[in-house]
Amino acid sequence: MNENHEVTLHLKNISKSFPGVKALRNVNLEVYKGEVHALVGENGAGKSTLLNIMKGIYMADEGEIIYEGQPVAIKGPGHASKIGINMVHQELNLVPELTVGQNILLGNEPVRGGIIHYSALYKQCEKILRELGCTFKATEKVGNLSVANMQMVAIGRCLMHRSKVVALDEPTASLSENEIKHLFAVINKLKEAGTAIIYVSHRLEELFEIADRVTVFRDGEHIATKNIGDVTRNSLVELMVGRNVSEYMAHSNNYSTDEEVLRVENLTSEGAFEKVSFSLKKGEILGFSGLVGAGRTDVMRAIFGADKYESGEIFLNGKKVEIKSCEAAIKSGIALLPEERKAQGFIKGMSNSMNINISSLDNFMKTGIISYRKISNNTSYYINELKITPPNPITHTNNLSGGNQQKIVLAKWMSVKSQIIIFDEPTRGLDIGAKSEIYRLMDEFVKNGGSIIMVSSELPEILGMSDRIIVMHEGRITGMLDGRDATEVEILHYAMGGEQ
Amino acid sequence: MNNERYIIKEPWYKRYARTGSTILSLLALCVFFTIATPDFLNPTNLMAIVRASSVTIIMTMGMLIVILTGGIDLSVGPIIAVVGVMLATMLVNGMSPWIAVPLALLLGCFMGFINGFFVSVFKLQAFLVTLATQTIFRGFSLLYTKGRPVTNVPASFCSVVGGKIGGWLPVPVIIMIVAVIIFALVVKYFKVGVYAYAIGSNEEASRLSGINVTKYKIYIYMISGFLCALAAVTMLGRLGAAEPTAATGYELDAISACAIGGASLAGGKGTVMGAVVGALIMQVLINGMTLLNVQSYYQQIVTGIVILIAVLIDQFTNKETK
Repeated sequence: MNENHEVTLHLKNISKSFPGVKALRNVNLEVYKGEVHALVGENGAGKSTLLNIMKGIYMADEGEIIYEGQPVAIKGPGHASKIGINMVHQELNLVPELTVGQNILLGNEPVRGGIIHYSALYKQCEKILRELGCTFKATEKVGNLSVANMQMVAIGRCLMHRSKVVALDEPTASLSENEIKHLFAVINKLKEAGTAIIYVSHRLEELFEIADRVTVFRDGEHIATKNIGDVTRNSLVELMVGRNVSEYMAHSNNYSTDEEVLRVENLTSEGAFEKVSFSLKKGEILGFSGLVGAGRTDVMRAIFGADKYESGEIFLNGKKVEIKSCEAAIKSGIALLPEERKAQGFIKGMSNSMNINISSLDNFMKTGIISYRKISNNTSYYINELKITPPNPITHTNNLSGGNQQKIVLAKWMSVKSQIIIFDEPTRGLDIGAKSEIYRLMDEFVKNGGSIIMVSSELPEILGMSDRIIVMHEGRITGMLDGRDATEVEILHYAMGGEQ
Repeated sequence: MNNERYIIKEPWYKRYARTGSTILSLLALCVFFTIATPDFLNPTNLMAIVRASSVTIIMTMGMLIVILTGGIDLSVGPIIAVVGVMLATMLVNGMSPWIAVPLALLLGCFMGFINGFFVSVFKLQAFLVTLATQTIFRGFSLLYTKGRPVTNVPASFCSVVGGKIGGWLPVPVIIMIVAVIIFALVVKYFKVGVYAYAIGSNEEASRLSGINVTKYKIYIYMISGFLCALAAVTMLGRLGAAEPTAATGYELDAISACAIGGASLAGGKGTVMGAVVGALIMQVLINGMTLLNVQSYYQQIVTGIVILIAVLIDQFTNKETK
């Protein structure tokens, strides 16, 4: 590591708010020339927001960016690239239909007489690929490459821009051991060339291999920056958590019975999850914890019939079932409140009344004809029962607050008399008041004999609401804990792939 | 728990603003032509307008329900042509209309089924599927008739379907009005209507709400095919002969009528009333301009401008609600 600590980039006293959330509170991040600086924290800790500010995608509310000793105002992603700040997104942002060369030099194509000079383009590109130690050709179509090689193309694009700062967001998320080794070799090469590297990862083990220093964020705040030699895996986890379980959780009694309503055995879907087995009791809230991308949502979508699964068995009330569609799942009493409320939970152009009743129209029909009087009664019932505001059946659900939208989706599933409701990130983006409302409704639902599976990335929510907790890591169940005795540290241990 | 009804009524004029403004535009147009030419406001002329638009209106409703799902049906014209020549052939060969007409309607459903099958089962784009079937169906109607019109349809059929009741009320108009009423009721009171809006607003959320999207999309294209067949029956009654090249370009009339009526090609938005009035607006424009001796080339330009204006209005009113 460079000993004289020349600071390439200093994000100074940065604050950023989004409607209803303070995403960053006065955080600082100093990145030295030629170091790999790891950035860690739970989901929602503020890492992405900070990187987006650095890249000019968001504007900071307060604070300044000092780049190579000069304060700069970054006007946008294009400007950031031009001055040498680049980022390799997890999704890579490549154009699969174009060649490697076209991707790397996208927007910077060498031109001769108004026409793209392809031989120069590929020559320039081959040079970059050689630097990266890549074996594929510059004329290869990006869509035909492996994920690891696509990542190299994205890094190649940073090299093209003569980047002084490169941020890598979860670069190893979908790479194999050997590919990671190659990636680390490339990172070390960049480092030797004096590039400052910001490395965001959920895999704590690899930080000890690649990082020089590590900064921990929690809830939008800067918690600590340490030399990697001064921390251990466990001390990092402790820095990342350390919150109190909130008091607004409503689920204090355990209503679980011995009656098993759902059993999943060895459910497998290649590339998403593997050999997932668990059971759900009547009256239970079963929490599913894990990091983003651990495959929890995929498992739930498979159980709900939204996605296909390759092998494994699902038993409902002791009977083996094959769930081939959402329609079939709903008929057998399973419902899903999706994480993407607006895109998947309710129908944007429709009124509250229609959104509540859309799945249960069969119950409100006489000889094939919809009875709007019955629909209206049902709507009023749930608007009162769930305290939906504004209590107006004909308002478009899209115009409601997030919490009320979630209640509309819940009312939809209560209207079809679902026995098992899967809540995927039930309170994402909601404020405390709306959260506690949703928790109260969940508690009531299990009290009345329903069962809940709750997928959540928020640890306080998992700890406060779950009777039992299952932890997943990279598509597998790594831990199963009792809701009352579990601790955040324990959950994170399993979520990061720790052994039982 | 008290089950008292909380209903905050949205003002009616807001709820029906788009359809209402379409109706007002139609009235304004009528007022304009009434002032501009004495021949316009005359019962015979008004009835001619409604009669001339009945085929378009029947077909437009099918287009509307397809557009509601976010799809499109470019094959409506050729479906009318195929059903027309088949029905005419059956009648010419002496088949009873009581058998031939239901068969013709079934044939329309079947051609709609082909569209729906490819769109929903293979998840192909509706535009491309119906572009292909448009060509196929047209080719079929030409092949079947060797390019010649089918004439000599028995007068017993034409005098009923193409006739007038009480000497003034054309049967095509009755067919159209009954079809519009039934269709409006289907859209409101049958699952297929509600689901058409749901699928068009958000197909994924609809699927996750337990709607069998594949099945209902097929139904919806079949409804479009059925209405085309009904339009073909009406048309044959009126004309007494079936051309294999009949109804060329009708798909654009139907799409235009839906657009003027406030339907969005992105799906999920549009009303039966709007589409019907949209079709009437187009017919009134053509009729009025013809009475004013406006050259037909100008008529096309004006129709195009009207569509543009309608779409512009939608764009701006949508922005307000966002």
